[in-house]
Amino acid sequence: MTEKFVTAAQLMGQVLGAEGYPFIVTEHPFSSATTDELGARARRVAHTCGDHLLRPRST
Amino acid sequence: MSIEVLDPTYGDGLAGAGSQEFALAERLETLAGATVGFISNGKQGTVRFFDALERELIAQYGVAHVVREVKSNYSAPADPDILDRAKEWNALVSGIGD
Amino acid sequence: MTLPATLQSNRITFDDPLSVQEHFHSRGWTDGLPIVPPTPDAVTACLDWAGLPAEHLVGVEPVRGRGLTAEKIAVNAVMAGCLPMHFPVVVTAVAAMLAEPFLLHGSTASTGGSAILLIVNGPIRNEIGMDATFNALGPSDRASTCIGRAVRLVLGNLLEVRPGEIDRSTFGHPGKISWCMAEDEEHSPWISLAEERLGDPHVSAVTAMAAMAPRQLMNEWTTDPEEILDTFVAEIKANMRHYSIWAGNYAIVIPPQLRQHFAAAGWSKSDIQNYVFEQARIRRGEWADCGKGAIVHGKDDQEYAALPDPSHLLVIAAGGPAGGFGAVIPPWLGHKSRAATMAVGACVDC
Repeated sequence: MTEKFVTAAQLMGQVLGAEGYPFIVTEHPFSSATTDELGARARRVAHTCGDHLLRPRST
Repeated sequence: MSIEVLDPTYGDGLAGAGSQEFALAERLETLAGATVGFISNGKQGTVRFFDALERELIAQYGVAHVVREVKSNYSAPADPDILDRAKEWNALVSGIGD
Repeated sequence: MTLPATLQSNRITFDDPLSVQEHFHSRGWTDGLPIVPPTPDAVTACLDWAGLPAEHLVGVEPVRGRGLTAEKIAVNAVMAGCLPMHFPVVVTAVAAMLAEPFLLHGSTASTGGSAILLIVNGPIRNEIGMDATFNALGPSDRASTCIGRAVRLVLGNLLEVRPGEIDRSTFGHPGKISWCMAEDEEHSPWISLAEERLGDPHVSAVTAMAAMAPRQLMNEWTTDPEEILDTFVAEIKANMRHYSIWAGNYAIVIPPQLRQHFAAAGWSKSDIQNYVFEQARIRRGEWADCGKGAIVHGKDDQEYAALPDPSHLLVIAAGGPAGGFGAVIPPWLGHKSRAATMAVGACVDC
């Protein structure tokens, strides 16, 4: 989700019965961003993906 | 003289009747060798972003396959046939709210 | 028949009507204008007029699975200033908007900022005092204004379509306060929009469209139907270049001064639709002429039509008696929302 739509995503989570649904936030907008900028965002998002898709590791 | 009026709002929480069965999917142990699906909303800027994210997931986590799907209407929920195919994936990334 | 015992909404008591106003404003339940206090009697009068029990399910919002009952719609209709005789039109409008192809959630949540345009046809227009002539696209009469406003309050109060909540419009437009109009069937040489879409010449019906702001044009210097329509087409093409290239439901509004030329030439609505379908096309390369070269992607000669087929053009007869003007009302975003027409009194779940 881009940062300008965080409250919309939170509200949609609520209205769909999934309050607190976790999502990753990245910069807005996409449409005018360069390919390099999008690549950098994808790298940061990918770092965080593990936190969302994987079970927490026990230490 | 007092006046009695009716509450105009839906008034029973924000969720609708269709949302009762929601639960997060089981988290995975690893993404290594996994099939990860992307459901894009289909907007122009998503293509280059998902290209890059695909490369990153393969490089950072050893993801085996990335399946790319695009919603037919970016303002509507994902098409039923996409959700059917999603059952074959280990993980799903949907986006992007741009 | 009265059904007060069946009303399910929470009741709130105030000392006076002014306190009602301030409470409703403070809770975000209004559009900022004064409302009529929705008393149980006023709400019951609406339900009685339409012959609907309070719990009658008018429709279900498809994305969220949220059912909208006649009672809750009536509460908002009263607030908007509706009389009981307006209520069947409000119910029909809401039912039309909940039809799946209308994509109510997407069209009301989008940054694109469309309004919901309601077009009313049939005998009910005259029964409730709708006026399709002067100021046809603005506040022309009480019924039109209140019905359009009722729909907007329904969206806000029953589906949280409020600015910054579900509604993410960058701009929106003034049609989002209230936008409801009648077709001028009495002074039209054509079949009505409802007859065209439902096949019944006697039906009262409501057509709902996710609509951008009207673009007004003028050509009173010809009597040739093709030249008149060329001006409408130019406006449609401008929208395709500047806003959205995607094909969908466009509406065009044709006033009496121009309708007479179509009538004299024997042009039907179908003739108009076919002509516009053929003419309203642009090449993708035209985007480069207006600063959008970044998305031409080398497909300069790819052609785009404004309409998926001729029937997607809603031709509406309306407007004051003088003036060679016209209006083009573009769709929210191509085909993503389809205009929906529903007969007043039609039962959707039986």
